[in-house]
Amino acid sequence: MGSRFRALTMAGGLALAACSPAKQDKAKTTAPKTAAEAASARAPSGRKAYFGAVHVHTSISFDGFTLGTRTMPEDAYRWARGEAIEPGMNGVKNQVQTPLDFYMVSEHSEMLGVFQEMQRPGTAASKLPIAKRVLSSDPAVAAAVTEIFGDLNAGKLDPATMNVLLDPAIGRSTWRTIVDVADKYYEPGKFTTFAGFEWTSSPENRNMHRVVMFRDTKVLPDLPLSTIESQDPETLWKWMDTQRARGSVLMAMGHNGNSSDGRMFEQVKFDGSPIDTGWVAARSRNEKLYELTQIKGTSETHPSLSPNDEFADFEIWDYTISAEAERPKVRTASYARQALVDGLAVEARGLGNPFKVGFYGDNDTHTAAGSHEEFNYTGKFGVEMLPGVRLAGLPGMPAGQVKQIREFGSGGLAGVWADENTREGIYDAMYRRETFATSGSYIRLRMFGGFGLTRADLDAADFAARGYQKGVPMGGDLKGAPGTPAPTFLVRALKDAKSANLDRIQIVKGWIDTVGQKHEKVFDVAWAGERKPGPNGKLPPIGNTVDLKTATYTNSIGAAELAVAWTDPEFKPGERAVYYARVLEIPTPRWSTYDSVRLGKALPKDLPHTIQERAWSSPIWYTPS
Amino acid sequence: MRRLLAEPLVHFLGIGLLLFLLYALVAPADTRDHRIVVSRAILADLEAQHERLAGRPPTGDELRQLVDTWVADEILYREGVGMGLDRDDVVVKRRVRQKYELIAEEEASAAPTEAELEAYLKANPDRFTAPPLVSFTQVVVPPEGGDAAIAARITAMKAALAGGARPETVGRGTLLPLRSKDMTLDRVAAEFGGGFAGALAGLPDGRWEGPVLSTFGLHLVRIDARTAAGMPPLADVRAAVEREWENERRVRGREARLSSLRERYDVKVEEAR
Repeated sequence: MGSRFRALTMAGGLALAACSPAKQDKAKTTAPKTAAEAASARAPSGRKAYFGAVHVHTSISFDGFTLGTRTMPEDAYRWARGEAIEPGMNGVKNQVQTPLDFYMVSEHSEMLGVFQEMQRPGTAASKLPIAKRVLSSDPAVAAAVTEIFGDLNAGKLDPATMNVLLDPAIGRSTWRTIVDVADKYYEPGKFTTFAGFEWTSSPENRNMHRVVMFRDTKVLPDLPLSTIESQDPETLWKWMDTQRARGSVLMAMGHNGNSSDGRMFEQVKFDGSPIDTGWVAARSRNEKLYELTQIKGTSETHPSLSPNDEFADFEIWDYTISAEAERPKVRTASYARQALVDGLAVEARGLGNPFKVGFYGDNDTHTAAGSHEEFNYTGKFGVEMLPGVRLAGLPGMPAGQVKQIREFGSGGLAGVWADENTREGIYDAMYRRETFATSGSYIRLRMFGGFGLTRADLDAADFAARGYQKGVPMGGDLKGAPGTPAPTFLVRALKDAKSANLDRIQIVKGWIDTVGQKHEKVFDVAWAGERKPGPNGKLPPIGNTVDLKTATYTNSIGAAELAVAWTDPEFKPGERAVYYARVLEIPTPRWSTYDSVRLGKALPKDLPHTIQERAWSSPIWYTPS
Repeated sequence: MRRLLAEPLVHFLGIGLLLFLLYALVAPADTRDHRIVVSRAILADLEAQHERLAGRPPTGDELRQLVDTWVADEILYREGVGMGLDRDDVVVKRRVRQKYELIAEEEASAAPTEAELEAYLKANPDRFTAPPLVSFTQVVVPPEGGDAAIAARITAMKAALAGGARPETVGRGTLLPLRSKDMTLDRVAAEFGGGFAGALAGLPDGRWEGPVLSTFGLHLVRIDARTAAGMPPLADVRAAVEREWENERRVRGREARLSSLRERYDVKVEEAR
């Protein structure tokens, strides 16, 4: 079914001598527009794919500051718009090749701005005994910061130190700065910024972090919530409900379940007691999306959870967030695919679905500069601006920490189908989960699901209009009735115009059967080239054009565009199910390969040399009557 | 007496005395100011700091202790600086440098005048010249069949479009936007590929042209509007100019200050061995 699209790239062979002679630009010439055209530009079918990131730290975050970052929120927005900045103190600049449409600085709300205050002579913060450790240039400072943060959350620091670290005056003025800068760089229609922060719940170094995002800056709290009162996500949801009652519009997104050791998607409350409808409603009211991939790994699924998915082993970062390279004890309740199926099971119990999340990708950069362009990867912290540090750590750094840094992925991108590039446009698209995640490429991916959709709808020029009219977009719901036919999914994917071709589109299905058993299955549904699934049902690999000596690849394999209308052949109307699309690129060099080639070093033996970048759509849920 | 000798304070004062004596031996004549005034502002500062650390104002005893510490700091600091102890100390140097930079940065936070912004706009035409923009509509040519079939299809599609058919009904489904408004060519290149962006410049306005090749295949394109590059008046870009002016001061200020200060110094670097 993929072969017909091969013709697309070959059609480029046509002679195209029909271009008219160059014409001088006129000041403003407008062709006539009909009312119908103007109206259809506002219809959902006119939505466009925009790319951005909402998980970005600068030196205001305590860990960014201590690990060599000197940038401020201004630098972050300038970088996203395409300007070169110097994130660390090592003279290395970074510039994004393809500027972003939206960006949000989301600093850790804990000790907000206090570490910077320690630099300011004469302040109470600068006089704290821990200031010496924080300002130290010793590579062991990372461990010191983790320890201070742990002690702070555990209330183990002396009261004098606590008072300064939690000084609301410092936090308030820093928050004000963050919001003012976001407003200053917001240009509706061109470049969108948001106010937000990261709530950094880390019980025993288990990652329960959430990025919190505000739709606008009209009504904001004067201080973001920190984890000092409590690390329980319910505290965050209550606080968010309070802000909502005061007039703010906001949502939260979890990330790095892979580092949560079974806590991100646990089916109990924070204290271990059973969840109830109130808990489920609070979670789903406040958390519409989940950050599927970032520097600290991809948490779609783990190879041990999805043994039949040969593409599951992608940028797995199998650590807790302890600085001592601690491994999680479990992988369950840590990855999104399993959580989607668990959510169906909780819903079947009559409690509602607590894990009904759409997907987006992000960075979690702590340098202000995003890192998603694989060939342009500059690490998570300022010190990693130097490729030698990314590959081998700082001198004196413990071996386990060096391994953690080498295993960082390059982070991803958030893709949204929005009416316009404004705060309202982008936020509303994210809230309705009309989003997709990418592992860093600017792949465009769109899916519709419905009962009456056909192959003709996929091919029609007004494909999107038909998708909305006869089905639901990704992030949406399909409701069944007795005798419901199998749903059809229309999926289209475009390669990144500046990057690699596409290998295949897959549909990932999760479901629970009538006896409550949980299942998942990956279907290859569209692919480039003349390939046939083998006896095991698996499509053969696309091949690999990467030259490891030069860290280059060619687009001699793969397709620029893939599309499919796929009807679930195993559909049972009585079973709850969830579907999302995954599209893979052909293999390209991993950042560690680019770095090694640039430095003239041997390729690392413990890391993959090539990766298949990818994109994931938000799911569509099917619920029986 | 033994207990007294064990007191750190006594050690401290002892060291201070030693330094003083040492200094008296090497210093030609003591011309420094020996007056120390603990001003009301300093007292208020000490009280405020205590309050931030302890959560309440200091008691009388505590304040006396804070004053004693402050006076001891001041005396020993002056004596130490007098002896040049600060000169070879990297930590002291860094601290003083950071403090200098911070103060200099905060001093330079006055808002720009209208004339300054005008001048800045004129001096940076590259940064504020609006790039050329293009608005266009495109439809995808279905790629099936041989060259002859595709050529025939293109002719038919053009005829339909010229005859007023809505673009939504012509061509084939795609994720590429049907209509693109006020796009820079960089943006067109990111969405359609560089070759397509380059081809748009050569198309006449207002009618269906093509086929034009993108990264994704063949398209028919109608240019709906163009805006030529131009330098906007300050009023139109005031917020952006002010933002850039402030940022430049923030980023370049530090370097500029340093280089202007450096001009006052005669720096000589000896040959490394």
